[in-house]
Amino acid sequence: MADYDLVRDILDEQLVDAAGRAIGKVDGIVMELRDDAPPRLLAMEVGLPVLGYRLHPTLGRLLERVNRWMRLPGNGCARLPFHEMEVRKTEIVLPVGADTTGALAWEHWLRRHLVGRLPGGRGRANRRKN
Amino acid sequence: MKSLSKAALGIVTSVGGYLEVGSTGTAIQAGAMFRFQLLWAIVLGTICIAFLVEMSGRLAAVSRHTLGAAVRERFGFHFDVVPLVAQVTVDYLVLASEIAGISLAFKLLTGVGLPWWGLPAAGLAWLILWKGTFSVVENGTAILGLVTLCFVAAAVGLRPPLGELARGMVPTWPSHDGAHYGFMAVSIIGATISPYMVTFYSSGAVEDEWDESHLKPNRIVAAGGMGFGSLIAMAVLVVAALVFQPHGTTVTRYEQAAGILEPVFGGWGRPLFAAALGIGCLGAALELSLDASYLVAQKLGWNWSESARPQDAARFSLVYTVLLLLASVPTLVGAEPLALTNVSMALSVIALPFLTAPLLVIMNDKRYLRQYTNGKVANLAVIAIVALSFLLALVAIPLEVFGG
Repeated sequence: MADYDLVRDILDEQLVDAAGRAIGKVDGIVMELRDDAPPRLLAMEVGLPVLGYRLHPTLGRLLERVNRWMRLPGNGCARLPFHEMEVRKTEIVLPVGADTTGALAWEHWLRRHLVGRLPGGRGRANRRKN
Repeated sequence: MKSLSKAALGIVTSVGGYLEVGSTGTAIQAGAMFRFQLLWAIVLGTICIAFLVEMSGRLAAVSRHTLGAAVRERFGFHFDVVPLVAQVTVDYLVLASEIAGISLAFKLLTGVGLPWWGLPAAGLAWLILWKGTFSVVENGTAILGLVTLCFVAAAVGLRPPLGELARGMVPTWPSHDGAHYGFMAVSIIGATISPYMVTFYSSGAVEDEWDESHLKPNRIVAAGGMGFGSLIAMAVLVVAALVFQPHGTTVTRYEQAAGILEPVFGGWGRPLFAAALGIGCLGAALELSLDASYLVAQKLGWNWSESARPQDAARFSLVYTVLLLLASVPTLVGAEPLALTNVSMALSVIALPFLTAPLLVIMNDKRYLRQYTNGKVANLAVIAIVALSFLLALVAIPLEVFGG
């Protein structure tokens, strides 16, 4: 059992999966206010639109619109539950695989439609991959 | 000793990649106009970058996090958006200068006009990044970059008066063109304390999977690599001083400097200069485009790796692809390499405080560095460098206007 400061220890920290693969940074935290109960934390948010909203609502809306136009799952944002997270000193480890979180929507899209199509994009597997 | 061989490789890498369009251009202009009087600027810049690079490497080795990532994690996105935009913008501008430098090298070798080489130069850099791994980039830059040692050979061959050289290592006020002297000093320091070298170094350390056993070699590489590299930059200044200054030749276009090695190397002079410039700029172009990709990916939390196949780091690979394409544009529209260099060096100086100021906090953060946080000397050095960065940033624009 431990206490964590949301802003210092959670927000903007690097999220990785159990294999050490990058999921994203904690771009936002979603809290639900309830009438008949104390507020509760719903999820961590990952995605460029979330960052956009932090800077300015117009930027957030613009990025959201781009993602919606691209028809990416989840509009390019992912909500990750706090369930079973491990808060380490310099990153947060989640028990889910990075590819299943929905945070890599752009990565998958680019791999399928652009990078994977260019010559050498699929190259020989090199030393290690992130 | 394993530690020593790691250090030796690191030094060769740093030396090979040291000379590029900014450090070469500023050194040539400085030597041509002020003889040896600006050597101290190279010395001061080198001492600063050595400290910064050591810290950047130590952070990466102990925490396995890069400097770019650590600033976001520690300071939050509201702060980090400023270094992100500033550093990527400066990386782009310096990259554009390097593409211009590669293009100029091709022009000197073939006679074909500068704008024609913009896309091939960017394309060459892109191909190396796309198909190669980090080791290829690192080692290739190192070995090929040793051609820049021709400047050291030339400087020795021209037999400069050592007393006057030594006096140049200490700041003195010039007898003419004070504003231009100030501008050159700021440009040289800006070209030496390149922000991209500091952040690229920590990314490279993580790519090479450094750990605590690399801490000692890291110190040797930081001091030795930057030190030896600066000797080459100083050699360029000395050669320019001895070849151009006696005739009162001012260098306002890069091409005017092409004959700089002829007094020592005769007919080989021009091709050698072109080769040294081209290779140095290519190495820097690779580092800059990678650095910008590293910064964007690390600050936004993406997976990143130059050693991975492009498809396994798709967003990361897209960033350097787009950036290289855009960086060829100034050359395509006929920008002159030296003018481009001078502007990008001044802006690099302005971006410097955003890089150095956070270091004071991060290098003392035990969550990242555990027992390897900064000691008193390192902290004093950071404070001095931060103060210098702010001072340089303040005077950069006025000096550019009055002395540029």
